[in-house]
Amino acid sequence: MTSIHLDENTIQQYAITGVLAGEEQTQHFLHCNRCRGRAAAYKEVLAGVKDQPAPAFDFDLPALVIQKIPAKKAAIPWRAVLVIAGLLGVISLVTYNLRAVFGVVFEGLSLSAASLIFIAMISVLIFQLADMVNKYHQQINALD
Amino acid sequence: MALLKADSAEDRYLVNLVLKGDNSAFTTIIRNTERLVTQIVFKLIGNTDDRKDLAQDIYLRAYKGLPDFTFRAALSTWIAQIAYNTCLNYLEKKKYTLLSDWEEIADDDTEETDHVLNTIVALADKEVDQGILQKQRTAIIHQAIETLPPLYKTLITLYHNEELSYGEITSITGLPIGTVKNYLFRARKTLKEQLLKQYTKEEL
Repeated sequence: MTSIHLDENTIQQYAITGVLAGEEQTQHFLHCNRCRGRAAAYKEVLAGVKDQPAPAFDFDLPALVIQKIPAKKAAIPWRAVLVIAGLLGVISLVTYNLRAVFGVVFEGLSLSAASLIFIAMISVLIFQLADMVNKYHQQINALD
Repeated sequence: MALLKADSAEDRYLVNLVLKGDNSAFTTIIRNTERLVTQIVFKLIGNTDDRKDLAQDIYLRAYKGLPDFTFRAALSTWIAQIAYNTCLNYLEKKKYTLLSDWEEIADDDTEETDHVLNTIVALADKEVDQGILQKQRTAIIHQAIETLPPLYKTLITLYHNEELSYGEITSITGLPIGTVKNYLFRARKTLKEQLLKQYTKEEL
């Protein structure tokens, strides 16, 4: 039987696994109060660690997290599409009904020039509308 | 350890539901992993208010990152990794370090220690007063754990309480396996020395 005490790592591993490597170590351990005491101390430590209660939050974590998850936006903003289509329809109807007036106002203008003016007007209207919708959403989000 | 099986069918099912917009599936994911995340947050962060903010931040990050989750690790390991890194970023911002101002207690071979070791062996053999001893031991170990640096506390908890493997701890912390083993060895040794010191003081 060896008189050399088991090293700290061997003692720790024994306390965790309950296994010693080789007959020599086992024989020393069985006859050495000091090594048995150190192993028993480690077993106490491990048991004490296992006895520690698991910490817990004093609030409902899932509820708080779910509240903060942003609502998924629809892939196509159907409401905006409908509003724009409706506006374009109204503009088209008004333009069609007032075509005689436009004829007088734009008399002498070439078709391409008139088209450019018309497209520019429609573009400005669409950009203003989009800007208005964006501002509306920003204000709603700020309120949320 | 059943909680941490890599690529479990339940993980896939829950993640798919969340990606389809089912928030109740994400609630289930939080409930499944809350214990592990709580352990990490409590061991690394001391401030109660900050813990609350960080816990929410961890799960919001996990939610945002879920479309990129590849199932190469268990979902709980991945979320624990987010928890560890989020806490680490917080500590770095606050200029705290994981192993700050900490010195190991010297292992002194005194007669008193020998006496205590003999007594521990005798008590273990006789199994007397286990209730009182257990309470006393739990309290001493609790105090001793609190004196450890945050990283040691976390490793001890992940290995011995949550029963994670070295590989899983390595995935979560990003530390090499040798470092994890070394830190665990030193932490256990310190806890043992503290326990013996306390038992000696109380003339066990």
